[in-house]
Amino acid sequence: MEAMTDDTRRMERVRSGELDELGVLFERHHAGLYRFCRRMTGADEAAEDLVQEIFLRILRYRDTFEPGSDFRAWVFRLARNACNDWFRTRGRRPEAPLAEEAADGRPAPDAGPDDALAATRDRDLLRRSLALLSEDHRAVLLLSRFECRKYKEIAVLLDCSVAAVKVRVHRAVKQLRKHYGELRAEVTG
Amino acid sequence: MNDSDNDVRRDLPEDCRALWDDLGAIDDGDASVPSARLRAGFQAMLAAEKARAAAPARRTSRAAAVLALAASLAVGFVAGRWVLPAGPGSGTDAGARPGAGADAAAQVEALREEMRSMSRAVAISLLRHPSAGERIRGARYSSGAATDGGIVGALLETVREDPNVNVRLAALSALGDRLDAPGVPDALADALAAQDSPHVQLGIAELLIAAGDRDALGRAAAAEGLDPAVRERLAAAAGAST
Repeated sequence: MEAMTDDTRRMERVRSGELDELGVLFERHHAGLYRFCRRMTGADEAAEDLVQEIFLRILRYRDTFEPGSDFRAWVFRLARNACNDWFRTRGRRPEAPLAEEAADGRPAPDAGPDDALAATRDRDLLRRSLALLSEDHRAVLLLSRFECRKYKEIAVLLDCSVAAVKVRVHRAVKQLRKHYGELRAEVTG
Repeated sequence: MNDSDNDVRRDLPEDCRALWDDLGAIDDGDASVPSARLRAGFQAMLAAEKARAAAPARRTSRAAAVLALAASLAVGFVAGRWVLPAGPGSGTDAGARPGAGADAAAQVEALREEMRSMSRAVAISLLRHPSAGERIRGARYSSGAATDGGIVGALLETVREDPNVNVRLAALSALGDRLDAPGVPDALADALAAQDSPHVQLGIAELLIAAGDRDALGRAAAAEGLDPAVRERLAAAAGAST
């Protein structure tokens, strides 16, 4: 909470013209924003471009930051808009699945070749299923599953109630399961 | 797995929990780090903004914008006169040279293009001004600017993000001439749900109807939080365009 208060204070200084304060906010948040954008787009270079765009928008819209408001929620809104604009210009889906190699997703050492192949295929199908979700559903899953954020935190970021977050997570998982089932049926015949 | 993960997992239907667990195995996002290019780009952008902020004379009053255009025009005009190669009877006779008419036309077109480009830069700069009045002027000023992704993107961002209703309406008015630019109807349809002003909703609806993009109309009509009259108008237009 202290960090959030400090972020807000620094953003208020940026708003009043102390632009160097943005450097501190960049160091504090650019890696997290990069991970979010990379997960959303599935592309390293696009994620870097988007983070650059987000900080450009912070500068551009610094006068619209309301003193005392939650800096992270404000930036996250800018980040989602930047991602949505990216999808609009590049098509509706990530240009590639998420990471090709998952560090903790390898089959167990004693798994046979068939098991390893099936596990790799299933992970690939899951990545493709995730890419088929709407941006809203993908965002809420990235926040809840990959970034392990609490309902309350997600509600702040998405500017909605905790109950609404729960509903969105449920719908996203169900939609993911539907896509995954359809893709799996195609592959396994 | 941490506490929040447990919370979400516990709330999921039984038949979704295995998928939730599998999802954790496909991500290596925490291991990825941005390259040095990102920090370098940010620092360059910040330096440019600081330089811009430190030059108050260049900060976008309308008079300054007009002066900049006038200066550009004068420089271009002078350059156009003096850079032309001197032929026989140069000076006032230059227009009589073979091919001089084409040269002059090219110069004028280049100058025109320069003016459009400068109008674009000035309009975008005004759209970012802290004063709502200046931002409205920026939206109006954009009508003389070249239509490209930059100006269209800046106007769309204004419609979506600007806290002032009048500025958003001015940006919508400016977008009316650019409905055929790629992605504009889609972007307007997406911006609709975030608008709490019925006036802005109606403005967007009118543009979408003028654009006649059936998909965008359908999505807009289904947006949450619409004024009933706006929704009815959009739905009627979506039905009529099928």
